Amino acid sequence: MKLVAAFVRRDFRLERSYRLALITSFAGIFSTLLSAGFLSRLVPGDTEALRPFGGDYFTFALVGTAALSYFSVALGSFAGSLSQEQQMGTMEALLVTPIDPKLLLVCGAAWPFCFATFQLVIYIALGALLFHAEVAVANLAIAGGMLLLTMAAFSAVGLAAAGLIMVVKRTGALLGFVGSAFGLLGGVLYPISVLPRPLQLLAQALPMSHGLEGVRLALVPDPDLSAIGRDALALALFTAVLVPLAFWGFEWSVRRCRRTGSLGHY
Amino acid sequence: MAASPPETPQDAGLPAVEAVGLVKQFIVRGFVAWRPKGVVDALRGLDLSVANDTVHGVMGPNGSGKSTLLRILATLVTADRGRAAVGGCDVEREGGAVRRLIGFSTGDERSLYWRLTARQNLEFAAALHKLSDPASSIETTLSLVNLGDHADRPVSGFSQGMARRLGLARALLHRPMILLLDEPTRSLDPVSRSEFHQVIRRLRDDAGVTTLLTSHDLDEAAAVCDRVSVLRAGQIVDDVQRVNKRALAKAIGTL
Repeated sequence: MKLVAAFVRRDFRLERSYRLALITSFAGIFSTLLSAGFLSRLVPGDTEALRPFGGDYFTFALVGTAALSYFSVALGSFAGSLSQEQQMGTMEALLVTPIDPKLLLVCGAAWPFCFATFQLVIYIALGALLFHAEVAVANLAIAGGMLLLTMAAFSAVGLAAAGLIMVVKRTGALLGFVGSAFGLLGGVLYPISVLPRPLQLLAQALPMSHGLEGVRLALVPDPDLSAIGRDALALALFTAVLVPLAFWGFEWSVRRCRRTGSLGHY
Repeated sequence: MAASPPETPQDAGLPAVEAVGLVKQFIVRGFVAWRPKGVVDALRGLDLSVANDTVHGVMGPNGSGKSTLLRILATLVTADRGRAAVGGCDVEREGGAVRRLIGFSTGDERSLYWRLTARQNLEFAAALHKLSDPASSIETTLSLVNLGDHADRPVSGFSQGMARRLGLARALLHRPMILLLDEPTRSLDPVSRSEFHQVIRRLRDDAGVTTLLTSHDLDEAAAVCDRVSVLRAGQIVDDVQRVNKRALAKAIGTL
């Protein structure tokens, strides 16, 4: 835990030194909230597709966009923190310490996760306070659990991207494509039941759709616990299979970079 | 009664650093990964032995393999063939143990967090080395490299010399037995360079730290090294044991 705290402290200090970036990242929350608010004026609320999620479109879109930005952190933060070390020239200095590179990878993503959690809380709180999003506070613990499970499943993809960035050095475009594909198929702005059948099947194979569905179902009064349980099981399976594979891939990448002498390259 | 295992290479009669038959090639990749543009022979069967409690220099022209050698010893690069040990630990099989024994400085100021202060940089390094009393280690190390008065200044405001000294402080923070320094005084002014040499000598004399450093500078090697190996095209071509500027110039072919 001391090591995680050291990474969080370092990254908070670095983040704080870029004041404008810090301020604008908060300003982005308001623009997203407003977009969801205006969009909800156009979309009729009580449609059949929205009914399992409480029927309110603003709440549906708010939870979707807030969770997507949260999951994007899981997708991009591991590779992002490595890329930052490579570009700052500090990668070799990290790797000559006795800490296992896998641990360095996980600790490097600690601050982005903390910051994203803080942003998520602000999203939901402001959505509820200013725009009257209908969030069942009693079920926040279940929603939080689903969120954590989804993060774990998403982290597997993020860890795989970190392994990739060690070797190919730039993964921004690839991660952008993966993120937009998750946005399209994961049910951020619409339930996946409105997608054509083949795309629905594809969506079921993504952790995103199970994560969002589980979080949304948990936030309505009288949640369908069996549906949430099915989503949780799917996410746990994703995590159990993908995370060890992703760590193995990362170890392979580090070994390959040691062979090619490109650990510190970017 | 069974003898207890030796704690240091000195106890075991081992050299601080030993390399035998090290070979390293780098492949220059083209656009298509499986059609390389060429191969660079960085090390071609290099043998090296560095005695304990000494300052050992490695000199040679650009591209002779000095940095590759240091990176292999620091476990950042894997050799294709041969073996190397640092403090008696094999760099391939016991990488973690090697990294606990060494302090490594690339001589590149970019390896520091420029937006943090000197103290904050060292606090982070102390956490990576799990130091039990980081505050006192940081104070002592900053004083050793004459940065005690600048501890709370951001590194972005440092001169190159100060940044180099902070890099050295980071390498020294966990009290390593062996220092690996890659061109540590490159582009330093004469005063900073002289201070740097004093620190290296003091570490050898007072703390028994073995230093392996690379350099292009004859004056530096003559001033600080007990022994110098001359490297050319990936092999040691000469070993100067009584280090003086004339002997070095002869060995590297500038005399």
